[in-house]
Amino acid sequence: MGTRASFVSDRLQTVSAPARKLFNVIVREADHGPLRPKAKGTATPAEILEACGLDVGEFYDLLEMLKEAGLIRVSSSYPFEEIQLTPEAEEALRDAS
Amino acid sequence: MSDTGEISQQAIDYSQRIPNNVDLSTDRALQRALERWQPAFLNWWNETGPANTSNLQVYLRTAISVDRDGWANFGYVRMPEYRWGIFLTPRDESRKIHFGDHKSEEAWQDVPGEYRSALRRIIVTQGDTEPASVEQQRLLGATCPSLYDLRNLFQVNVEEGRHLWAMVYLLHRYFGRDGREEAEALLERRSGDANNPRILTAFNEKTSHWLAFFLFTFFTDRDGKFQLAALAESAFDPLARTTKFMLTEEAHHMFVGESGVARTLQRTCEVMQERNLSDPAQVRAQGVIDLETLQRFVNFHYSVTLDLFGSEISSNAAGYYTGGLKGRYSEANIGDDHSLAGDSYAVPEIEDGKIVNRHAPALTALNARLRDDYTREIQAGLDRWNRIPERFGLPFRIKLPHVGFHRKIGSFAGHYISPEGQVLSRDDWERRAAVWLPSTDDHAFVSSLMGRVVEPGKFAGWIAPPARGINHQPIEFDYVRFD
Repeated sequence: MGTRASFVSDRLQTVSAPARKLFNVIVREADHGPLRPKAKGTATPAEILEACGLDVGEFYDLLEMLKEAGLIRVSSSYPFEEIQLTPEAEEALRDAS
Repeated sequence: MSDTGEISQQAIDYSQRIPNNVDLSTDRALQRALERWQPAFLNWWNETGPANTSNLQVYLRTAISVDRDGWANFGYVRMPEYRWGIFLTPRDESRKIHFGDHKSEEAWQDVPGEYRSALRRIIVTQGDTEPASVEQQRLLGATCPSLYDLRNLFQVNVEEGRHLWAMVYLLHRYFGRDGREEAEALLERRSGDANNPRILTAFNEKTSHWLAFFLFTFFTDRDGKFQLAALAESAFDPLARTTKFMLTEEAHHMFVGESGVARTLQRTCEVMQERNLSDPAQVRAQGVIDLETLQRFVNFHYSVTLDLFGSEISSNAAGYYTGGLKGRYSEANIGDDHSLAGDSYAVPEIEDGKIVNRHAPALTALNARLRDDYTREIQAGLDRWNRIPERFGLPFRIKLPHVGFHRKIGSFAGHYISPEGQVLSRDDWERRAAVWLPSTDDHAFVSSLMGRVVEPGKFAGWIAPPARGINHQPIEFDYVRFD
C-alpha cells in the first residue's frame, strides 16, 4: 500500500522541475480540460498547452521524460496525442487522495 | 510553462475599467490617460479587428491572475467585452542585471535617460506588430474550417490586442508625452496601408487564407517569441516583467500554427494514401493542399520572417546588448561571461559568388545568433511535421530553405539564392522562382478550398479534426455561439 501510494512522488523525483509542473497540469486537464467529448482521464496537447503556456517543443521533450518515468502513457500519433496517466500513477493518486 | 510558479499569486483587479495587476488606481494621471486611450482602442478593434463578430459568444481563455493556475480561465465572452488589461509578472525585488556593461547592478525600475530613445524604439516596434497581426487576420472568420479553429483565431486575436495594451502601458507609464503620442500612432498605422503602413514588412503582408494564418502563427509569431524572450532579459524591469507574461500567451499561438499545419498535412497524406496519389494536380483535385504547394508557402513564410531579425551584423543590436536593453535568447542559461567582449560568431555572407562563413564580433552578430536560435526551433517543428508523411509511407519531407533564400534584409538582400543555398544570377532566379514561392494560382487554389464550416463537430475537407474523441467521435463542443 505504502509503495503504491508513493509511486508518483518517487517517480517525480527522477524528472526535472518543469516536467513535474507539466505532470500537475496533465492530472488537472485529464479531469477538467475544456475539450469535450473525450475519454475519461484523457488530456490532449491543445488543452494542456493552453493551460500552462508551455512552449510546444519543450512540451514534447517533457512529455517524453514523463513517459520514461512511467507516469503517463501517450496514445495516437502526432498531432493527435491522447495523454493518460499510467494505471500505477492513477492508483497512487487515488490512494493519496 | 510560465515561470511564475514559485512567485506568489498576484490577482488581477477586475473591478477597474482597465483590469490590471499594477495598482493602476493609485496613479490617477496614468489611469486617466489610459482610460482616454481605451475608447480609441475599442474603435480600432471594431474597425479593424475580426469582422462581423460583435454578437458572437466565444469560448475564450481570460487571465484572472498571472500565476500558472490563474491565467487560463475559460468562459463565453463577446469579444468587444473581452477584458483587455495590463498584467505584469510580479516584481522580484532582488533582480539584478545579468548581461552587458551594467551586469550585477540592480534592475532598473525606471528608464535611464541615456536609453530612453532606444527603449522607446524597441517598445514601439514590438507594440506595432500586435495590432498589425489582428488587422491581417480580420477576414479569416468568414472562411473558418471549423468552430474549433474559429475560436482559436479569436483567442489569438484578443491576446494580440492585449499585447498591444502591454506595450501601451509601458509607453504611457514611462515615456511621458512622447509615449502617449506613440501609443496613439499604434492605433493609426494600418497593415498594408500604402500611406501609413505597419513598421515591419512581414506585418504588411496579407493573411488571406487559413494556411497563411497557420504558417504565420508558426513562423512569425515564433519570431515574436524570440524577440520577447530577448526582451524578457532586459535590465528595464517593467519591460522584462511584461514580456514574460506575454510569452505565456504566445506559446499557445504557436501551437495553433503548428497543429494547424500538422492537421493540414495529415489530411493531405490520408487522401494521398487512400487514393494512391502522388501527382500534385491529382492531389489538388481531391480538395486538399498538395505537399509541393505547402512547401512553397513554408519557403515564403520562413524567408519573410527571417527578415524580421534584421541585418546579421548590427551595431544597434550590439548597443542594445551592452546597454542591457535586450539580451540573447535564454541569456541566463548561457555559460559565458555575458559581456561578449572579444568573442566571435560565425555569420554567413557572400564572397566571390559563394556563401562562406565569416567570424564577426559576437556583439555585432547578435541578430544572426537570435535568428540561428530561431531556426533551430523551427527545424524541430518541421521534424515533427515530417513524422506525418513518414507515418503514411510517403517519401516527401518539408525542408527549410537556406537562410539566404528570398531575403530583403541583411547580407543576402539583393542576391539570388536558391533554397539549397546556391548563388544564382537574376535570370536564373526569375526562371525558377515560381517553383519555390507561392504563385497567384497557388493562392487562388488554397483560397478556393476555404469554405466556411460552422456546424459543431464538422471540419472542412482540407484539414483533419484536431483530436480524436471517444470512439473517434468528432469534437462537438460549441466553441462559438451565433446568437
